[in-house]
Amino acid sequence: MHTHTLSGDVLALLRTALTGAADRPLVLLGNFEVEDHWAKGEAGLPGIVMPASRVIVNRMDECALLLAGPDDHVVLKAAPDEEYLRYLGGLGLALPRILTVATGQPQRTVSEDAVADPRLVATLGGLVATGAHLWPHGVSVVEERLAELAGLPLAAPTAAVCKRVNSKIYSRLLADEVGLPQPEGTVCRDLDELDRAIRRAGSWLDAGRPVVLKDAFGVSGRGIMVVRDTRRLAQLHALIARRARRDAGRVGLVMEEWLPKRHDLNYQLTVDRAGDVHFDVIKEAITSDGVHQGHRMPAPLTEPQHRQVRSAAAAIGRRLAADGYFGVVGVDALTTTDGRLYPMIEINARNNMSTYQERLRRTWFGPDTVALARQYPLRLTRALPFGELRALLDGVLADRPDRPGLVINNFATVNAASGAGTDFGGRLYGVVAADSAQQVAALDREVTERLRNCSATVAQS
Amino acid sequence: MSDATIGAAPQAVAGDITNVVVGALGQMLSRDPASISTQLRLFEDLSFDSTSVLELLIQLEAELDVEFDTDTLEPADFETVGALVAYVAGQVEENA
Repeated sequence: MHTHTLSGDVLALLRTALTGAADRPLVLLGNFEVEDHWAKGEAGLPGIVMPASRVIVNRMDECALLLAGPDDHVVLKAAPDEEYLRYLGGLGLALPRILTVATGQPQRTVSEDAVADPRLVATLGGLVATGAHLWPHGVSVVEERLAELAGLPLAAPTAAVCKRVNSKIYSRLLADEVGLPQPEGTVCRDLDELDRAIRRAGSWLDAGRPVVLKDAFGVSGRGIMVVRDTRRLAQLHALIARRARRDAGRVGLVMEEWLPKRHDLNYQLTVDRAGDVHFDVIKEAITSDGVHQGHRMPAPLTEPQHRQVRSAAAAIGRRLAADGYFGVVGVDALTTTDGRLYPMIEINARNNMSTYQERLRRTWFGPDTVALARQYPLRLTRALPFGELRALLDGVLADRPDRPGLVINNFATVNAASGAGTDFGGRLYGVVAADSAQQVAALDREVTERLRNCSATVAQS
Repeated sequence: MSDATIGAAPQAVAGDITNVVVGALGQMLSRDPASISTQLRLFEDLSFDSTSVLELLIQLEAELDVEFDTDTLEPADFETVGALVAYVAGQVEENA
């Protein structure tokens, strides 16, 4: 078993890892927040997804354009802005062929739209002869169903394998097994384990140590709760236990100590079909209330910490391969205020926002580039065409590789929630790159300022 | 909250539930309950997030001694303070 570092043509390497052949055409599907499907029927913590946020997240499907080559197809919920496609072409990305669903319903993921579209399914079926494989962002029963309907092989393991290895319970047990340092804590799969965990948590709270309870399939800040007092712990215990008793005693949570965090980290590895593990990249993750906001590169780690991460990645990849997983894996990690590194907080065995930036990172940025990948939250009064946005950001957008500036990597999320006739929220996803952190910060401020002054932006009081 | 109260005076119960919900929100957000009207939007006006939703459910279940059927929970139930009161009142009735 080897751990390699990816170099060269990232698309060819990914293709080989996923399908066994460097020239195999792919059909990409950007079904972000596939976790919602994995969580169905599981005994986690109650929560809700706000419709506006779901509408925007579903349009992150457009990210797939950045990772597809000219012989690939990308399935999207709606046709991209023509100006945006020209812009992407101008970045030197050879663009794929685009297939759009007949009826893109805002609340549905691109996969859910696709399975409900017989004509699209038939078109995908026509690609079988080319040897194409279906490569979703992550695989749930919906993507598996689409693959079956179209007769396309998946460039991924089964939904059952993907779901299993994405559980936070699996992550904790894996860390125990391979001896990776992890926050003190325990898994809760039934009422006995829950009762023991709550007793342990109570003793930590008595000693002034906060605890965190996490849903095994929670995503983006949902299904996670930090508990700082015993009264709240008792309430939470009662809520979980009541639900578990109604559900044959099933519980699906982990309980952990709440660590004093200095930096969130996220790294990516790829497990190929042969079981070899490739370390891709590590970045600092920017989160707000557990919700992913973006990344910074390079990650603020010492050389020994880098080695520790690579060694953890190799161990995690080997274990995932042994459990039948292959494909892209994102791992969340963190450093604490006292300088400890926890190389695995959770495994996300699916594509990540970072995955879609890999081609840009390798072709557009130099080895010493400092970069900030983030989303700019927008509040707009009307739909903002890409051409207008491009003009607004003139001089701030990077105009050729290795030059300071912003590269936009998702535009559909800007106008995804438009159409109701009222103000709406949107997100602009981009990567600000420059030679120094100071320069990146200045460019970032400039982008924010220009967006604030856009005529489509709601005036701020 | 007794069954008799719920059956006998629904309006009074709705009023009580409004007080409980607004009180819980005030406590969570460190805000004077008197400043929380039923028209306020939880996410936009009160800066609610997913964690707050869970925290509020836990608090209300404990205070009202009910179990919310969260499988049927819709985002619309959390749109405004008033919508939340209606959801909670419905759940209290179902639990009665």
